[in-house]
Amino acid sequence: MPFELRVALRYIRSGRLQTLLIFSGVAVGIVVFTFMAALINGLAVTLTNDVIGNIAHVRLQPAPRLPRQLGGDGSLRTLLAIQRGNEPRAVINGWREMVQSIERMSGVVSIAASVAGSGFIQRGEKILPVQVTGYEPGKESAMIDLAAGLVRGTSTLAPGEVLIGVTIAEQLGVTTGQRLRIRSERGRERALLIRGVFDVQNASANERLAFTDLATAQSLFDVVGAVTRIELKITDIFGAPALADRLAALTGLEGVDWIRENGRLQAALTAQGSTGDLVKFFAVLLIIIAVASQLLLSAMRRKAEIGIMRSMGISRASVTWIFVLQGFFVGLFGSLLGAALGYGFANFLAIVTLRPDGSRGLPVDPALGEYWLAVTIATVASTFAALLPARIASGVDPVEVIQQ
Amino acid sequence: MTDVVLRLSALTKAYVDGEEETKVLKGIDLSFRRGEFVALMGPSGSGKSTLLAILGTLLKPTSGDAELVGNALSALDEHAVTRFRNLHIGFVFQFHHLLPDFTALENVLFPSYPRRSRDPDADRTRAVELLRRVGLADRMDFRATKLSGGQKQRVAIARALMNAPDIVLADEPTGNLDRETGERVLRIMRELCAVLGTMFLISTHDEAIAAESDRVVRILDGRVVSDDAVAARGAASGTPA
Repeated sequence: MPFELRVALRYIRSGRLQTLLIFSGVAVGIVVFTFMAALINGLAVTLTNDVIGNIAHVRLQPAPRLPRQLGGDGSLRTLLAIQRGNEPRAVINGWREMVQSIERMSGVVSIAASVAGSGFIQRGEKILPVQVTGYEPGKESAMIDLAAGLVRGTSTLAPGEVLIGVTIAEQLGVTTGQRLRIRSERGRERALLIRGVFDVQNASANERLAFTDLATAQSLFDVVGAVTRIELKITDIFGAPALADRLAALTGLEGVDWIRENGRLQAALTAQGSTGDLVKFFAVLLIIIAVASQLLLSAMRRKAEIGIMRSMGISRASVTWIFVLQGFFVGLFGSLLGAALGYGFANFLAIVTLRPDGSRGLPVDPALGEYWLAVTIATVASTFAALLPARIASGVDPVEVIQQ
Repeated sequence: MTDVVLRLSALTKAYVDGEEETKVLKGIDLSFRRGEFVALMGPSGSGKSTLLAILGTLLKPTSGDAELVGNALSALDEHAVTRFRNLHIGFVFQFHHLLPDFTALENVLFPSYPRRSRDPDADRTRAVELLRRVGLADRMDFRATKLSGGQKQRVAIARALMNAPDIVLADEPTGNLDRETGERVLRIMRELCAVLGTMFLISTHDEAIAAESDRVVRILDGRVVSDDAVAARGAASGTPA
């Protein structure tokens, strides 16, 4: 073992109270660091899951038809234009082959073809705007877990049946077994039997969504035999934009992903992450100050010893190494201790704030504490923090010490 | 003369403070032989400690040169000086200056560490032997803080001899010890000088040490005023320049 390492370890071991204090300083900094990481990352996961729980991660749909001019090549006056809404609805033909092909791709959790459109639900004098989506039988819960959120009835649909959100049911004063009339944006009307009422813990969904079987939706929106979109849930949710682009290129459809559709969520997560990073930065700064000040005190206290070492032919470089190694080991051991305490603290909070239904009262996720990152940063920071004390120690004049 | 280990030629040292220059050494010419036990005497402020610091390569002279085992110290850069000091010079101070976190054996071994020896067992054997010679074989695993003042100073002597240096520079080595302990420490140094052939240069006010020495060099106001062999011992005679 190099003697610089031996001396550094001996100084750490024999420091006792000083060592305890400096380890505590580093450990507290790491507890703050890891707790903030567990909290901010946990919150990000919770928010993200809340958002993506009720939406597809990737959606394929026909590219929108933009208004075009007839005879408008620039040299002639425009005589006629086709406007959106007056043309036949864009649909996906040959969707069954596409679904079968995409379903075989790795990372695809579930896939469902659907017909979606706007409409109104009418019951007596009450009229409510709704978003109607029709799925193939058995795919009703592929994007939103309707089965889990069911308040009344069942989630499997037969032709002529509908599932509605709990707010719609309350506003119309209806329940399962009753009928209501839906009028689509295409002007088609169907009387549908309410098969189930759901509450998916999302006010907007409970207030606006209605689900039918695919055939009913196709007849409501005039797209017999076709679908208007293909939706996917995937394992790598943050890979959604790349997958959407890839599928768009493969199918010629427009690829839409949840990240680009929820820009505000991304902005909020980024701002939240930046706040967490700031707190973590100050935690690391605390570690640097603690290590630098303690080693500086050590350099002052051991001035005589350092002078004697120099008189024995120990080089300035060796003295520097002795202090830099102390910084390294203080950072390493202190941060390992802090990471263990931080993990314990995050687990403790996660357990004591657990709600009776199993959900977390505090969005702390102990698994997301970035412990190894914290240990690495603290060790490197602590090593650099030791440079100033090391420089001062290596500059001790042995003559001054001896003459004292 | 092949057994000359240390030769000083017209050595001067001056400290400058602003526009004021204080000359501490004013032309020292001396040479010392291997195995000599020399007392360096003089009143406080006469330049003894400065001379020792220069000989120990801890200070650079203002002019003149010191040549140790054939090496002109002024020709060495800092790295070479540090290595040279480690291999050729041992120090014993008035205060023992042991490293308190280490055992007696580790303190003795310390000067061997920078050499990065390929035979640490041989180093350990030598350190144990030196501790045995100073009468501390049974205290080698004691922490420095657990030793008495006399024991610490004996460990410091063993430490100074660890790398088999050509010279040991001692600054008032018995100054902090009671008379009996001081005499014992002096006796040990004298014996080691004779057995190991290392030259000892001891800065002291103590006439008892002078009486035990082969040679007494007296300096006053930065100049050598006398350099005498101690007749009673009949040892090597002085070699005033």
